[in-house]
Amino acid sequence: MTTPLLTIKNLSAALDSRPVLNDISLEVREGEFFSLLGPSGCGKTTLLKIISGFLKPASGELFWNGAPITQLPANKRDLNLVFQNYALFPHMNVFENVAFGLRMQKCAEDEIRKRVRESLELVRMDSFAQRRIGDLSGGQQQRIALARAIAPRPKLVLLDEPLGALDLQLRKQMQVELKALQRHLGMTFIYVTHDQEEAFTMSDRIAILNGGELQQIASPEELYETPANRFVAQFIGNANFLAAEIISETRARCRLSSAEFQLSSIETSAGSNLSANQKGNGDVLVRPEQFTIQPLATNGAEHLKGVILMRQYLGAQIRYFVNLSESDQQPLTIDVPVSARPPLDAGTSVALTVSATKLPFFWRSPVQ
Amino acid sequence: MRWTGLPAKLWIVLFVMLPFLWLLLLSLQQNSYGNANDTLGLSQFGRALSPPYAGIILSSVVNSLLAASAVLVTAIPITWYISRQSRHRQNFWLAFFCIPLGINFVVRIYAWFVLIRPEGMLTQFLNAVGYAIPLASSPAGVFISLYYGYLPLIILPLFSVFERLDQNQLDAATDLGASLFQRWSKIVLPEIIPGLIASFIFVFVPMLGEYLIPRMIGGGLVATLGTQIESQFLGSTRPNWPFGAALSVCLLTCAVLTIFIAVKMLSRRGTGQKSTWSLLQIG
Repeated sequence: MTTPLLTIKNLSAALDSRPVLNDISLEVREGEFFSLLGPSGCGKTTLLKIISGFLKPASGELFWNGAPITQLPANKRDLNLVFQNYALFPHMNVFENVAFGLRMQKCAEDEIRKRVRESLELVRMDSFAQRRIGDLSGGQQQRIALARAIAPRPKLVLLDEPLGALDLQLRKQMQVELKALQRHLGMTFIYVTHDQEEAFTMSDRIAILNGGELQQIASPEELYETPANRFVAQFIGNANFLAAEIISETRARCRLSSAEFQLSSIETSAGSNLSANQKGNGDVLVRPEQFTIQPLATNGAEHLKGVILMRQYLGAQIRYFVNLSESDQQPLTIDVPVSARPPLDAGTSVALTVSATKLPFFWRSPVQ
Repeated sequence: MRWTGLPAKLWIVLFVMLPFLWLLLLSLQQNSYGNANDTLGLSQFGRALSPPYAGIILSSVVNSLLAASAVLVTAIPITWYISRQSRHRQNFWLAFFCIPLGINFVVRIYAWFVLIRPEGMLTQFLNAVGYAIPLASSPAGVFISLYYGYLPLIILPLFSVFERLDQNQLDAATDLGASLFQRWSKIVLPEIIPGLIASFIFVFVPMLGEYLIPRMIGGGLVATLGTQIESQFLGSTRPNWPFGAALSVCLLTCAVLTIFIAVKMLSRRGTGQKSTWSLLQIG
């Protein structure tokens, strides 16, 4: 396996003597679209500043193609930032902004002109070269900030919530363009965001951060299907937790049961979470689309029973909130394709079945 | 009829235009004030623009330029430091520099007089270390006092200039490979120059008209435009209001000319920030 472009080893950081990052280790491969995802205050911006060289970590090391760069100053690192507020230079026109990095590298004037034009074409702003920054809209400034970062052809581009200030339509469009641009250039992108959907639409891999701790690094599919812990399960998409009890000691095929009913035919994929001789209480994670819902007909013991609390029309789906009978847990969120069957009204008694055969299992804390 | 602008217009006419026109009229009178059947002429200006007064005007302009430059050059690193602190510390440092402004100007300048008298602490100290510079009643003393008196006044306008400078822009420049020197020459200076010029004028213009400092520190031996105007109006020996008015018009011309040159310089650059323009209007 080749050396990763960027390696972070056991990195910790503090701001004003308050710890913000704790023992972060991760690798970013060349050509990858890598996202740092987490709620605000999780330390992702601090991590970005450390990677770019504006902050020194309290401990831990950074490697660039295997060589240590922890002490390398920011202006010597072969990576460029796209700032959240764009941070364009207002006293220069668009051309000079994009040319800045090339001028710092002492490129020849012909080369600068050529590369600036290329970069502006890539972000479809080539007709704006002579405009002043103040005359551009937010979306246009965003493109110029991107062009400025890619013009010197760095190995790595860091993007700090670059779409945060744009309206929803433009943001969706830019997500597609960013991903296409990254693939076209073959550059490595590290993308910082708190928006799970944004990270999912573009990323090859995502690192989830919470409270300064790394929760999980995985592809979007893995994060959704096999979250490492309850936080990831809840942060990514909608999560329903069903109380469950492991009653079989068989490692591969665990039979789960709960007070409500028996999930006899369900396997848990979280083999790593279970050891052969563990028994006890926990929760299984069921995603909203993994339920099937129907009006309660017979008192079949194999069904979860509940009452519809509310119905939401979401276009392609209908979302039901269902209160489980004989349970004080939070209402379940259940998504059903619109075309499936005639919609059920609030107040209807329903029977639920879980259609998936593999479900992640989490122990109740304290861990037994 | 936009009557909401009326108070402002009335104020300008009453307190700016009328007094100025009266001053102009006064400066065109040939003889000492009080002569009713005077004919108007430019003789007072002829006198103002010939020796020794032309030299006094010139030296006042040069001294004010020097003192204002010294104030600006010192204030830049101080204010830069303050502007890069946390909000809490910024307030502390700004208060630190502004507290002296709470004390009356005359009192503060008198304190300097005490320090630079021949038997004053500063003069004694300079004598002790071998620099026997006469400070009292000398241009050097006036310069030091001008510098002291106006340094706090430039901190605030300069601070607002530096505070507007986005740290992210500096970081972006660093990120793109700029060294400390390149950051200053390519990002900081081009962006703050309009603000620097405005702040400079903010202290230069009042320095030019300053008469209290040359009067108290100079002890009547350092002649400036300000002291000459004062003595023509209020002096005990042969006051001459028309001549004082002519000198005042010269002073105003110098001030307006400086602002005009500054505006020209800024508009040629064509990138002056709007907010610093408004600062210039105050100057």
